[in-house]
Amino acid sequence: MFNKILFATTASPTCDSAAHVAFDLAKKYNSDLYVYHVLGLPSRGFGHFAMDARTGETEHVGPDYEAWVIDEINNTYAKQLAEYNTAVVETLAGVPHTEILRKARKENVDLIVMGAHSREEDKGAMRYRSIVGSTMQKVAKSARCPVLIVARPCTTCLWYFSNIIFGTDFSKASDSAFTFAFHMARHIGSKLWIFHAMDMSSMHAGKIHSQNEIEDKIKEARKKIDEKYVSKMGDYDNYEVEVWEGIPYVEILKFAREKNGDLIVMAHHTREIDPDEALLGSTVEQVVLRSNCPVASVNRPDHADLSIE
Amino acid sequence: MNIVTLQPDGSVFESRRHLSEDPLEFLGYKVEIAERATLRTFFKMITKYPLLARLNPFLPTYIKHYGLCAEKDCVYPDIDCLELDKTVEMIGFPGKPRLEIYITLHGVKENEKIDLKDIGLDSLLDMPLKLGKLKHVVMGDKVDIFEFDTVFTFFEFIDGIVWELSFLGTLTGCPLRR
Repeated sequence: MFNKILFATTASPTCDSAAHVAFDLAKKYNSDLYVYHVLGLPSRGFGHFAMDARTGETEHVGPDYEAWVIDEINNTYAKQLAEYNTAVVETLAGVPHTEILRKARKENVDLIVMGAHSREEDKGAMRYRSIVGSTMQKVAKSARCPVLIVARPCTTCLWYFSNIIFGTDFSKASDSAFTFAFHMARHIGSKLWIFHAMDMSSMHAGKIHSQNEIEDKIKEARKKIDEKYVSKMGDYDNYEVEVWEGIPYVEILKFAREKNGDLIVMAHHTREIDPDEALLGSTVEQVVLRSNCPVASVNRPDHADLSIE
Repeated sequence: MNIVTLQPDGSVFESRRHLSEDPLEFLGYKVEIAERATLRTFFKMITKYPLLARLNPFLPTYIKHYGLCAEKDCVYPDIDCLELDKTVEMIGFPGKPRLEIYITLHGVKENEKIDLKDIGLDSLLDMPLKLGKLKHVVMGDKVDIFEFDTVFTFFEFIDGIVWELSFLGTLTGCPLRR
């Protein structure tokens, strides 16, 4: 299912949960696993210097420093690497998101796994500047393959995911997310929840809708789900459709918590915009920040169809 | 002075008078909380004044969750208390200078801040709840932070707690696949 997995990490504690999932997945699917750390450059980017991901100090990048970082990564993931010894640990100096994307393209990976933050969370940034982890945002925006963002400890194993929640806004990007969610659910044998939240904030702008109108819209959304997704699932019957009304990110989080979802799959951006122009959609961003379970952000159709070997 | 006081049973008083069922006009008042207040006190208050639940879209879910928790002993041993802080942060280089003010709720263990997001509500409800200080962060310097006594409005108190609650929770189990 995943022949090649790229685990982008700073080897700091914020990536521990992502490491757990990345190694688990690689073991299960016998995938080639790249444990990849980009030695980020300071903002001005002059000279051979990097910002150490753990200390925040500026370090001179040379063979000694690189060897020390690789040593540190090997120590951090010693237990996992002992169990899965074909993983390749690599570092490179550069702008983190550019190098992660470059590596993913070069190796043609099927999945990128990463944490939501590369360093400790910044509450002010989260609350007022909608900053999750800028590397994660940029990777999720431009990656050609699905990006699995793991922000919290994951107590389950990916192949035991029993509730996969696919959140849709019916955009073109959501079609790719559906392909990924459906193939994953079918492969694992999980229940697939197809979920749509009607955005009441925009519906209410200047007009109050009656209960009948809301119910009509819910019916309309269900019909759309049948046409766009259910009709493509053949004889797969382990699914349910739910349409709620409210603020999309709030509703999907509430739904995932209620159904004890262990994976949320969403399109990277929520409107019909060119993927190259899209910033991380605010719905995905808010979901990633608060989700108890991993979130797969799917941007394009490439690698979304997991039935293709 | 415009002050409302939260009692341990969740009732709110203004000048020794019980707040009416419509507490909205008091949201801008300074809030004080009783010494024995816990996070459960906060939920008792929201239950007493249901209109307050409309201040945040996540709150109704948490009220439901609160109803399912044990009635006592919901404590987390690695935390001494929960503290609400106000932060004023000056942000400069790189980018345009700006000033942000926000409220955060966190755990405290021997003067050390503990992040709450991996702890469930059922482990926090009976933790003592306190109002903390104002922290002044200048240009990202998180080492030399100035601290000042401050006041919290009733709205800041509710909003700050619910904002943090919306991040709580970790998957606890994995029912096997079909």
